[in-house]
Amino acid sequence: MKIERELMRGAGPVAVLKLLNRRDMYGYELVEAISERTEGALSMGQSTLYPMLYNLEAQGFIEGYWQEAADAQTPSKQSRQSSARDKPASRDRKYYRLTDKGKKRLADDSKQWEAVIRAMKALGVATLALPRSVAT
Amino acid sequence: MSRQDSAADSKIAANQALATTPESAGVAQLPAPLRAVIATVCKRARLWKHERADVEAELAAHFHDGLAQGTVPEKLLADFGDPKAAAKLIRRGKIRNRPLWWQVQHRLGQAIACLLVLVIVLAAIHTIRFYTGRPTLAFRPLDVLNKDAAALAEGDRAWPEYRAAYLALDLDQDQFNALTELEPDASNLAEVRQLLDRAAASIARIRSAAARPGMGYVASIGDDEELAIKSAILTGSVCLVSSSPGQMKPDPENPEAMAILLSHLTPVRSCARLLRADAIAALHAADAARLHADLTALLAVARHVRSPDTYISSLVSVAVVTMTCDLIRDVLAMNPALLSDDKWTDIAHRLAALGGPIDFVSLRGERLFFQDTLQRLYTDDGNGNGRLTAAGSDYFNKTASLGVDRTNAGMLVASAFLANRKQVTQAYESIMDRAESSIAVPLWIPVKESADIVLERYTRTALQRLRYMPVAVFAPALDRARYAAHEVVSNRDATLAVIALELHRRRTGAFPDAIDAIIPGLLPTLPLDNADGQPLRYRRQPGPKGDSYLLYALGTDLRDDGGTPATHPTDAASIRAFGRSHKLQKPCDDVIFPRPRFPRAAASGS
Repeated sequence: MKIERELMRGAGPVAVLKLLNRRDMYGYELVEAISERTEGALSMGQSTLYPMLYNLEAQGFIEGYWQEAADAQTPSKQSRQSSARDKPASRDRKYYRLTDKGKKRLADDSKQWEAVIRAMKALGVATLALPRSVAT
Repeated sequence: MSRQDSAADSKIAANQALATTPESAGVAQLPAPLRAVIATVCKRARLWKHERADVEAELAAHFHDGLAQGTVPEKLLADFGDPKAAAKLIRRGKIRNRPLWWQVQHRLGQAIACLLVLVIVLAAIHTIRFYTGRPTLAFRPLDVLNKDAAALAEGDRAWPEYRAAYLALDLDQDQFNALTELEPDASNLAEVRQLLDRAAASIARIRSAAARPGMGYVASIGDDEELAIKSAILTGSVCLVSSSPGQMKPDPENPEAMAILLSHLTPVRSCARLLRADAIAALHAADAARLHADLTALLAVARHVRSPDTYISSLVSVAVVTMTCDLIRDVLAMNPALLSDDKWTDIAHRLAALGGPIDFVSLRGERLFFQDTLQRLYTDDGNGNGRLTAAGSDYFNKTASLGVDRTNAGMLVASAFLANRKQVTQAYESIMDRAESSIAVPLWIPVKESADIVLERYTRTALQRLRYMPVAVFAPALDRARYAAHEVVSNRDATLAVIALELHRRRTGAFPDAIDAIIPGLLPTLPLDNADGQPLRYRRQPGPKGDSYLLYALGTDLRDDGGTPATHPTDAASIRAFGRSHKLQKPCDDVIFPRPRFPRAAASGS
């Protein structure tokens, strides 16, 4: 189920902060992780993710840095249709990490989301138990 | 190291990393559709060079990761979303990451641009309103000025008779001057009598005019050529009283108040001077009836000339009353027995009927002129408010020719700062109200805030003068009005006291030892000194013809010099003229009776 835009606007940044709280991640990785862990509920296009990352960066919650990705492969010209046959090549990715300010913000936002979910449950709007992956 | 320092260092490191964003991002190795998306996003985001390189590299890395995971380019494109929306959001996000000095400069630029747009919009609205606004003429000043005349029957109007008498005068300039400058102690009476004989028919007609109920002068914008020619012959100058500047063509439908001619003032004043000359001749001829007729005619002229009700008409009336009062006191000094008790009583009643200070100097005409000016400058919203119009601006330029270059464009800009019609009206009315209330205050009581001070309050700074431009240009200096009103009333009241003293002498055989003997039987109250509000100084003393007295006021120097008369005409004028700074040649008082006389050389020298 896709989330409404207004809800996504509040939930997206918290989701990104939460993921970066565990380890540094790059853009594609974040997109995949959000989609996978929320069972597609908070899936977002790159046109949403990257501006969100830049905004979080501007607010000082995260910071980006370039790092060589040893595991990465650059597809050759001949085999763009099938990346599995590509010859591995080194290239850079931009990773993001959570700052202290971001950690504080995440803590605050988590409390607020918990309060919201409790309130929704109390009202009968949300009836399901929180998925383990989200709760942790 | 603090957490903030650590964060700052991380930021610097990140920025350095950004600055060295690798070119090996592999954009060129991506399929064409993905390259196109990156190019579109980077182009539309309009970023700085290093920002663009960073975004380009990050998106390229993203697509490479996707391809590496086996995702087909079509799917990557679909997941990416709208490149235009992405460009817009990425630009916004990157701009937020720019340094503080840039943010401040950017915001400042935006603010200036917004302000500029606002100013342009407001200026456009103002310009449209300025050029589309039309003044609404709600009244005709000519109708208001001619209201009294219109109410008079043809036969009750004095002006046609005054005019005819003036036109019939068969005198040249020298002869006319000989009559109008005649003094009671003149030695050329024989010559003057001949001139008066030539003017006898006119003088009789002037008396006849004076006997009519009202002036009946119908003001207009047309020149009275006959009068202009006669004035040129008698006075050597053409004098048609109007404040209309030469370049203004009057509106034929509703003539501007400024264009209305008061061409009767010079002839009527000349008529009064002729009456005075005739009265002096009658005094020397001991012709009581003629003297009484001339004096009463003079007072009637003073009353008539108040209509139409304008400030300048008031001043002409004041001049006529002043010359009449001076003459009455001369008559009482030279031949007190000439007129009977009844005649003096009659004259006294006519003098008293002229009223108080506010009756002598009227500002209603000034208010009318200004209201007329405003209705030609501003629009009218029906509630007394409005804005300056282009037509009003033209009118202003034509009327307020003060040597200042006021182009229409200049007035358009100026009008943005100009007070609206209601505010200008309020400012002007407050000045006029102050002037009128000041006129009622005796001269010995200081006025805390005069009309001129109120005017100055509205015109103190250049911005205020611009804001209240119509007031600054058209409001007259009004403090003089108060002094003029009190000087003439003082003169009149003193003359009433002199008549009362003569009547007292006739009833008791002698002048009183104290002036308060004439109240309340002959006069309701004693005349007061403008200098200190005390009764005029009186001292019984012998004169050339026996029992007499000295009556005087302290005058403008506020000093009691024991009734010392002025020895020079300039001192005689200065000692009486409150509100002006005159240095006296010799200490003196304002001697009311007997009126000081000056050697002819001194008088002509003045």
